[in-house]
Amino acid sequence: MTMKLTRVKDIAQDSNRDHYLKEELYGLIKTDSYIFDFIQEAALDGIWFWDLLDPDNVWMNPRYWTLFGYDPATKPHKTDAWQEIVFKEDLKNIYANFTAHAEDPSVPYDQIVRFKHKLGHTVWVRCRGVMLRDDQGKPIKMLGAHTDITNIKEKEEELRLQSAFFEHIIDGTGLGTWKWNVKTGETILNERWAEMIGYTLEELKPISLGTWLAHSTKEDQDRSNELLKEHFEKRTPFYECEFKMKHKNGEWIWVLDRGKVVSWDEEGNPEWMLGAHTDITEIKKKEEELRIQSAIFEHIIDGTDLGTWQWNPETGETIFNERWAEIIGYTLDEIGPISIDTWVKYTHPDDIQKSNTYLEEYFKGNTPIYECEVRMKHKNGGYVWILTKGKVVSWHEKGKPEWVFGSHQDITEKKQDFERNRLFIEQAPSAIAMFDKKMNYLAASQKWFQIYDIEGEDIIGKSYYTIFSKVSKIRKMNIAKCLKGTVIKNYEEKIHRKKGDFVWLSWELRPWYSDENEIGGIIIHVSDITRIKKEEELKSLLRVAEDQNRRLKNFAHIVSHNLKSHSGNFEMLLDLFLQENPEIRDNEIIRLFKTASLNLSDTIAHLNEVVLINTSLDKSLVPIDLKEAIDEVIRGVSAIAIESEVAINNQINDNIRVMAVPAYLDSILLNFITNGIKYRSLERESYLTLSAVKEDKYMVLSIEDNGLGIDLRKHRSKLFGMYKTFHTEIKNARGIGLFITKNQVEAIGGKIEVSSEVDRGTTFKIYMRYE
Amino acid sequence: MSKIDIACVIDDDPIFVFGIKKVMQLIDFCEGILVFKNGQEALDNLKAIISAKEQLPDIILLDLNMPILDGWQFLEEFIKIPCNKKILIYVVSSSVDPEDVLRAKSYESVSEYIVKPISVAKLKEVLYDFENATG
Repeated sequence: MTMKLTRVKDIAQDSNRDHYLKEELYGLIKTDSYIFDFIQEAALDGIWFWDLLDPDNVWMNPRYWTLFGYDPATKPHKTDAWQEIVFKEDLKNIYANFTAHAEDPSVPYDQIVRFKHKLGHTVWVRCRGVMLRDDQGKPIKMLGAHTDITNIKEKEEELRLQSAFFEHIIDGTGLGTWKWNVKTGETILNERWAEMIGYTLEELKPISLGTWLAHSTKEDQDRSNELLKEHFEKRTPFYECEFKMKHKNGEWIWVLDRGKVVSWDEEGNPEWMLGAHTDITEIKKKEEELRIQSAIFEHIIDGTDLGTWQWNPETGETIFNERWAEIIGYTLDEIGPISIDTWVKYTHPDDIQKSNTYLEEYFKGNTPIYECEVRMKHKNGGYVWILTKGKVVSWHEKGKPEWVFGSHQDITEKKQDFERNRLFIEQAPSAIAMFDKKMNYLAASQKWFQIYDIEGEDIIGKSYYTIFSKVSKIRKMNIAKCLKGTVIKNYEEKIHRKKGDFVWLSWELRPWYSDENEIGGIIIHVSDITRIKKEEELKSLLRVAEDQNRRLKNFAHIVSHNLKSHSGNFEMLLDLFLQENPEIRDNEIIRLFKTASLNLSDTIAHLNEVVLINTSLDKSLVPIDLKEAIDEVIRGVSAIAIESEVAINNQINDNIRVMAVPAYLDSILLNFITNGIKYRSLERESYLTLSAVKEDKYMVLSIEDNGLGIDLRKHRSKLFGMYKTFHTEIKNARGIGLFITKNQVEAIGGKIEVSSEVDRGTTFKIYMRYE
Repeated sequence: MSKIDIACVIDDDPIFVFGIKKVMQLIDFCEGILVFKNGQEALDNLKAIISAKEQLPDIILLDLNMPILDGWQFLEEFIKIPCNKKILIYVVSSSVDPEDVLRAKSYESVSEYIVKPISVAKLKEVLYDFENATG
């Protein structure tokens, strides 16, 4: 025990000698163990005394154990005991320090060691120790002391965590932070600061203000200095500056730098300053693009006659150029201050609504561009037509338009041209309609409405395909072709109309140009060729009829010649036979034979007459004076007329000339007049009156008698038939006259009407063409 | 006044030829009769007569509708033949077509258009005309 204490005294000797209290305390410690006890209990958080010659044994004071929450009575003075609760990770360090100290006493044995508290938490202990050596310097005992530093350690940890937390947050924001001591020049940057310009912090070391200077331009540095100075002089609450920095890859990035002085010295000079870099390259790029775009835009616009407008729907900010105002006769100053209301003020109210609809459609993405034709009030009182076009040049992130740029073009002249076209088309005497590119009606002529049987419908502005639901494939194809610039002509199609009938239409489709090269739409010209088509049909029918007529003529020829020659032979032979044999003249059979032969010849003669009429359709007609022709016939029958006591009155006016074949007209007149005489009534004074009136394209010759009359209810259908007779009492009725007459009238392009009453009389009306 | 020496009938219808011969005999129309069945036969024979300088007919009764060479064609050919004798030509046909009548009359050498059947009276008329014309 003595030896040990000597050793302690030796060590403490040099520094503590002078003070008597110290010497006394040391003395007390040496003599009175109570003092030592107090010290070791009160001032220290544990003392241990280790036997290095027998390392299993170590003495630990009670405080040693209470610090870790154990009852000292339960713990043996063995090395195992403390080793159980010390952190295994720290043991290594303990041994290393122990060895170092054992070899060289000048190396202090002083370290932080963690122990496990009985309750589970960690107790941080500063563990210091000193070895006691024998005369040869060999360590034999070791004395150690513990100081509880858990509180300090916990605070440190908290701070570290907090700091890490902030670092983390800053990392998350992507800010490159810097701390700069204005006075000393000391500079601290974070990793992100370096990363922003493509480096690691390590690569940039050593860090100083020069690190920034090396990556920025002289101009920016000068500007930055100016701004810094303002802030140092407390004229600005922040230092804020945008500048370029050279990236490792050689490109420039744009940085927004913001900072603030956080500490000042006694004289009011700035000391520490904190700040952060934000990468604004993307924003800058966009700004630049916009600026360039805008500049180009302006440049282009200057060269044209376009008025321009820029409008921010959200803020209402509106910008017009001088030309915008000029189009409507003003200067910008005259109509200022400019806002969207300026536009509303000068635009026709009807067109504002239209424009709004189009704009909405565009914002919704339904149209690639906003485009609308509007009327605007000119200073001179009239309206000018404006084509306004616009496009969103920047969008908010939520898809809302930010800036809309657009133009105004004076299209009054074009519009007037168009109006003229439209009017022209509406007035056109043929069926024409004008369409825009989407095949909406722009104009249509009256005739167009008529042809399609859509009169009274409101079609302007409506689609072609809405008005006509059934559009054939070929028509659709032709329309598509035409919209690409092809002129389509003579395309024919049969159209079924609403009322159920159909028309044949011939089409012509032509594109019209709104600009020199831009197709504005098409013009469709339609002609009704139904009549032509029908005529074609008629012509083919006529060909059939002509063919049949030719065959009929052949037949007529056979009748005319062959039959007649046979019957002629009969007649001749019979005559000869009778001449040679006059005695059989009265033979009954021969007599009948003779009659039959005559009848045959007669019939053939009649047939011939009919055939000749029918084959004379193409005979040319000549004008004949009707009155004279009738007089001539009357003269011929005057003998019979006088004998029959029939008064014939020719009441035809002079100079009425009908178109007829002279022989036919004679035959017709003769037939009617002789009929009139033949079928007179014997019970009254008979008369026959001929008169004529014009009726449309006909001269109507009326031949009226007061004769027997015909029962038309019974006989009308047979009246003009061949071999029809209606009066049994009349002996020489052949039943061929009216048949031939009717055919002759028809051959000269006329017709016959008849009215009659039995025993009252008959009126024939003969319609003939006149000169 | 002279009598008809030779009458020529050009017709393909044997019944008509039979009939006309009978009538001619009946009224003592002529001395002799030449009969040809069609225009070609008539033309050939008449040409032969001319070149042989034999006696030509005084009168020809010509049918229109015949095989090989019809009446019209015969006329066309016959009028081309140079001949100093005046021959009277009568067209005798069943056709009543006015066109045929007009056409026949357009030939200077055609005296008349007679519609069949030819009656005794009609032939007497012809004979009478001939006697007066030449007489």
